[in-house]
Amino acid sequence: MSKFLKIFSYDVKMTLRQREALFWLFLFPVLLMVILGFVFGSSGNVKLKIGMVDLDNTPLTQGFVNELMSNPESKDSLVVETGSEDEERAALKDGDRNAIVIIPEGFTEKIMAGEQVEVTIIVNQSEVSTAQITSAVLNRIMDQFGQGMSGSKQLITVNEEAAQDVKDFEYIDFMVPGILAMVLMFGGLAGYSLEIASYREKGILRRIKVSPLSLGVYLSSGILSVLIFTLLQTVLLIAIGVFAFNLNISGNYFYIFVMVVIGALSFLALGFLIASLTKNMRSAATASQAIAMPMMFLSGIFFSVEWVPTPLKVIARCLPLYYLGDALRQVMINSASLLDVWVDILVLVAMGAIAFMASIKFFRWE
Amino acid sequence: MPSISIRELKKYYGDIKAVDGVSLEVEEKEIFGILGPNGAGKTTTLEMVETLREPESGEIEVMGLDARRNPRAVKEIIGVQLQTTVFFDELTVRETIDLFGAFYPRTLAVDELVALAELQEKADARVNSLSGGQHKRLSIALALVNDPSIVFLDEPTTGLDPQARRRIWEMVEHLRGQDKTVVITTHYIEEAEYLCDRVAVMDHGRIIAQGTPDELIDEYASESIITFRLTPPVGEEVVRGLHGVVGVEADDGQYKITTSVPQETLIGIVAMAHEQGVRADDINMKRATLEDVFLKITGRRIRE
Repeated sequence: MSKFLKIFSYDVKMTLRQREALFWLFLFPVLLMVILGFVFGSSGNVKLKIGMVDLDNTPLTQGFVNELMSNPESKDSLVVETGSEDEERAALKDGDRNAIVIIPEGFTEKIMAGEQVEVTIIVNQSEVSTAQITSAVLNRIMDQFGQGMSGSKQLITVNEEAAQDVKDFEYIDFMVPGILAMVLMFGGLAGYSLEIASYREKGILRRIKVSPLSLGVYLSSGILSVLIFTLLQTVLLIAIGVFAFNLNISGNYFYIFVMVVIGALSFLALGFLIASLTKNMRSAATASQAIAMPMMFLSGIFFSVEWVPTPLKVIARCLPLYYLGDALRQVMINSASLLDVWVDILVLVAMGAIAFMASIKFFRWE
Repeated sequence: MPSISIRELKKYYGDIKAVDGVSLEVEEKEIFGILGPNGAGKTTTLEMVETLREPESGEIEVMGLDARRNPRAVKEIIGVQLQTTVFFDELTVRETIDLFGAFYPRTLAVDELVALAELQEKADARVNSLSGGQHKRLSIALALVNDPSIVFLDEPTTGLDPQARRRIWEMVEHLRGQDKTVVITTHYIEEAEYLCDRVAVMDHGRIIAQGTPDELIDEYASESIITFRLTPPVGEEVVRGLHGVVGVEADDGQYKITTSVPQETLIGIVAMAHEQGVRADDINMKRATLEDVFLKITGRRIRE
């Protein structure tokens, strides 16, 4: 055990002495967060996300919702989701909707009968910058709809409520889990695994092989050191997010810890696989970059993929980073439990396990 | 009991027979050299004994242990300096020795090893600031970190200048004093002759001769060469008549003779000069070397 600790402490020491590594570990993610935080922090020109609750559910109301979803004019400024009243109210509470629209039961009947009918709009007031626009846009849409129906705009009245107890969801809340996911991915693909590739190239692995120490012990001390640094990164990113950008963390810190460890190990296994499959350190580094870079931009870790065209959505869902980003976001911001993100966990654990076994199969000492 | 005993060891890479039936025994506390040109199979042989490579076939016993069946036990009692190892750039000499010590159950004190490698002044310097010779000395110190019974040194002086090579030789001589068995590969003739108690000469994956340097020279290249000048010159037949002379080349008072009994021939030259009343000077005697042994057996030189 003391041998293990000695090797571990030298691993930590070596990392601390690599200035370049420290830059990528700590300075780079913080800089990225600060830059993105300042550039996109104020919500600016974001699409409004509207939840439609259709309690009437007749061809007329369905047509209205479909029209709203596909109308080129509204498509540019609106993202429309549909769901049950409970679902949409919950989404609003989590800060995932700018507003929800509730079409009451009997809506069609009353319109047909020429009676007054009331539609409820609940606006997320916490997003100060968008609340007014949201309200105005929705009122205008309702007016147009009413006019289209009967030629008279008085038929539909809008009952506007302010949502109570809404989380103050901002871009920073979206971004910090994304940056954390990115950091974990790079840590796994471009950190320790590349170092192992360089040890192989330098003959250090062979030197270990002629000693009675098992490679497993050697690697686990290194992996432990990687995890320690990963957790330090996590703490640093969250701390800067909270103190400098008003990051709202409503999740359970233990769940966050678990997701960080799962993500780190999973991507580390993928990194080991790359290192095992490539000839030398240079090609391993190139392969890591070739995998990490597209993943960074396509996995929706900086910007939600819900707003991108469908093909990109499909691509995102094929990338493991998407699941890590999603899980971290759910757990950190939306107070999800580990059970809520079981799909994400399954994907990450499966990828990690497969990559780990494959990297053992393809492992080379020299 | 020999320290190492190898029987019919083979290692093939496809059609290439890197090691093709090597048998040898290394006695306890001797310095044993494997001499041969690059690509002869020296390193591959060594690495199979070190448990780094799995042989095609053959037996390897290290201190009575079957190395193929019990690699872990063997690893504990051997110390290995690999031909090319670069260490951790971020660590100092002292830290590197300390870290490698953690790979073994039993270790020597770091300071002792630093002193042995004469790296006291560099003890707290980063490994990447060491010169070639210092780096080799560190890697030998690391081969001793577990106080092994047998030390393997794979071309420990390749690429070093003569002075740095001398210091490595001193380090190896010191190991002799510590009763360690040392196995060393080299393609330097002088190194094998200077350091080794016994030498195996290797070529094309096979051992072509084995014995002490003297035995090998006596067996394969027993003739020495003596050159000298006589003023005034004498007839070639006079020189040819000297005791033990096998061949003579004469050129205007310069003579180069080959002899199987150099000392007696030397006395004969001096006596003959005295008798003939001529002056003999510039006398040089060159004993055959392991290079001549290799040349004799293979028709090639060790260093191409």
